[in-house]
Amino acid sequence: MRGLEARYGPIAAVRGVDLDVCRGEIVALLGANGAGKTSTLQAIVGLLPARRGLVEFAGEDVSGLPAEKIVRRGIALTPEGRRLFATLTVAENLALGGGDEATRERLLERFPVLRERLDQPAGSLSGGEQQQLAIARSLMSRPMLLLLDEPTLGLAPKLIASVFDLIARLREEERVSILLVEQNVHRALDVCDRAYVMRTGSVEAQGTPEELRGAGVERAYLGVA
Amino acid sequence: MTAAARSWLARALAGSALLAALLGAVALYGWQLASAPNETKVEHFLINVVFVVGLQVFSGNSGILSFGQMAFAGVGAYTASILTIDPLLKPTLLTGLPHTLENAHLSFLSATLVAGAVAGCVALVTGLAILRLDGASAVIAILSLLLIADVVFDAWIGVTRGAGGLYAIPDESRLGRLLVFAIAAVVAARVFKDSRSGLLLRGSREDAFSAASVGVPVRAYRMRAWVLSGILSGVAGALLAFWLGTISPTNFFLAPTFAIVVMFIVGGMNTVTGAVAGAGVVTLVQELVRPHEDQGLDLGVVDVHRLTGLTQLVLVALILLVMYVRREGLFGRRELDELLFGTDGSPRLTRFRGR
Amino acid sequence: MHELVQNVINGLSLGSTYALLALGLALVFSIMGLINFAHGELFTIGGYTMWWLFDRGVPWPLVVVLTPLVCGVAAMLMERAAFRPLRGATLVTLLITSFAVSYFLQTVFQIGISAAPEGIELPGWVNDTVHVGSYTIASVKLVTTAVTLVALVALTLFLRRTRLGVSMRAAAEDFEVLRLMGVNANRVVLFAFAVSGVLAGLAALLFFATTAAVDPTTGTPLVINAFIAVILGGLGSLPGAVVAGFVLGFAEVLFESRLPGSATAFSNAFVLLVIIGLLLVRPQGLLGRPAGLT
Repeated sequence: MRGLEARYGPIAAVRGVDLDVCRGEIVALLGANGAGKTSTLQAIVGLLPARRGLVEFAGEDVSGLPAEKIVRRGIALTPEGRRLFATLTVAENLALGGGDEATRERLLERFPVLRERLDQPAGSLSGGEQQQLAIARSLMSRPMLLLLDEPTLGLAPKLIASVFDLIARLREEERVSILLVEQNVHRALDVCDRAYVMRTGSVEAQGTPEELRGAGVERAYLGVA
Repeated sequence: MTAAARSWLARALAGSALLAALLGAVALYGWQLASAPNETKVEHFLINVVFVVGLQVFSGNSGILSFGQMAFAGVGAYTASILTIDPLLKPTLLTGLPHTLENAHLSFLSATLVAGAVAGCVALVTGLAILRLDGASAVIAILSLLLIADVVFDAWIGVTRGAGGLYAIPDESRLGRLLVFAIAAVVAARVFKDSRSGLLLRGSREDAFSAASVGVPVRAYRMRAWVLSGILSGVAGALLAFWLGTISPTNFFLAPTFAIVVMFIVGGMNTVTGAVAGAGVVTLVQELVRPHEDQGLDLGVVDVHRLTGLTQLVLVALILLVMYVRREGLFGRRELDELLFGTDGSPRLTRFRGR
Repeated sequence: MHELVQNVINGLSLGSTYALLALGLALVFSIMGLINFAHGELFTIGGYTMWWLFDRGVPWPLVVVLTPLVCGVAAMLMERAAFRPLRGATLVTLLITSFAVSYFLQTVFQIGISAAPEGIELPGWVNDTVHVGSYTIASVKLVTTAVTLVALVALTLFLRRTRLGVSMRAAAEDFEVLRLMGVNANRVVLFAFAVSGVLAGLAALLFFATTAAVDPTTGTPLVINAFIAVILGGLGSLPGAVVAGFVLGFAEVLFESRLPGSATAFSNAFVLLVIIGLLLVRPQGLLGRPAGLT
């Protein structure tokens, strides 16, 4: 993605962001609230129209395509707050994610608690279970790139650990590249290969975890000079 | 009164004065030109102003689009008619009237004011019910009010003469009188809009729940707007009755509701200037198009003798244009005086900025 | 007792019309937040279609199939032309637009056909009666009720069992996320409109079978009543809309039979007043306000 700019009406949420995710990488997108991280993800996937800039995926220019088309080319977004279809059952949520019987089986193996709750409305699941369902739903379409928007939001500490664990394993076992938006800076740096730090719509800093930890990522995060 | 209180009122009155001057100018044009058709058109315009301003007072401030103001207009119209039709004719026309009403014979002014008051009372009673609802439910409930009124006007033949129409309404409409009422309506609407009630009502439009949670009595303010709107609509209905000389339930059902809504939207929902402008634009369009309806159209391939309904189609086109192109209408954000003089009162020519 | 049975039958019959109309309205509202004022015109289109077809001697089974189809197509055209450009607009904007579309269609009927009512030449069996025990019932009313029940069952199955149906329920809950699933949201909306059109067409078949005359404004009072039913049932609840539609039908029949002769013309007004009263006590409607289509 190059020079991405996206706006909510007259308010520019994302200004001139350059970002790369290579195959097989886990890239973290960090920053405080309002930094523009979610907007960046939404712009990538086509939910937020980008005013300027280029989004390239697997060699193809996908800028400006509607969300449905971008998603079908192999990008999946697990939105902030999960946003499951609460009145639909677990099975129906998964079915809407796409995919076939074999994929569903494989995901139910990975997330056994979902198999137990297949016919229950998604709204009745616990926070941790909902997060698993949200990620499973995104994986149903066997994406090449998975965008995770704050997957640990609102979860208890023990569950947070298991989510990061899952993220690390996903890269190997599902062969998917991951762009992870997180507020949990240090955990994110533990699991990612590279990271970008955003502030008020632009990228403040980028690099490997070692580079960022050394250079005082907190400073970039908070914008303290 | 404190300085601050005085200044908002002064500002509102000054703003209304500007609009009043414009209305006066239009009225003068209609009077000077002296040809009866033009004077009639201007009278039509002034009555429309009262209608649209009435709608603006409620819908513009509360954000709830009301399709029901014509119900109040009808109440006002029938009330005024009953009070002014010659008592010698009344018993034959309206068989269901109580004795006092049968003999009643009020002047134009009294009848119109009573009409407004009665409509206001109906608004009060209906408001107690309807204003407890919100969003889509409120809109639909108000719409059903329109239907209820239509059914009542149609079926209560003893009092309204139903679909047959009530005639023999004395011709009391004069350009001057209509001008006075139009100006009064504009002043009332503008003063309400800039008053505490109006401001707080507009502020709580986006989120009534949050507003209520910080102590804003949203429902009470809505009621004030609703009743004021009812009064103005009732007055407008009375004026319409005097102007037409004959009324029937269709004068207060969907077609006129649509016309008033078009004026409201085209002009801009949020301002009184918008209401006046919308009334002007649409009345003008109506008057321009209507003659062509009788002329027909010969396109060679298609030969249409009478283009009835052309006016209606043009209205539809107007409102769709606004919806697709410029949703806030002509004067969507600021009153005319605010555009010319800025919102702090200093004279300045500000270009209309923003969305 | 005889009168009671008659009232029940009439109530079911009228209730079916309201239920079908309300269901179509509720469907579109749940997914798009659109109060489709022009829904009444879809119904009127059904009436005019019947008039036109019967006038040309088309056999009634064909009319029964064609009318809902025509209405469904009309609904899809309406969505494509008028509402799609306004996807995501506010309630007020959508409402005004649908009002404009409704008014436009009424004017078109007025100009293109006639402002006066047109009589529909119904097939003879419509006047037949059926004898059940000691009661004589108009067979058309029985058919009405049966057809409505079948339609409701079919719709429920569709929403629960088919992929498109599940997508529609999901769209009612969270339209944006549905797009994230790669589902073509436009198609889902178009289909929802189509279904609402078919329902309006069915309602038209049942209504005009007993009324046999159609004019440009026939749909308006009915659709306003249907809207009230939608609210009474609870905005966003499909089963609520159906139940409320029947309640409305029964209430109207009840008022008409109980009111003194001079007041029957007011029955519609009374019913509406009663319902508004009910809404005051329970503003969220009979079946509450669930998050989506259930």
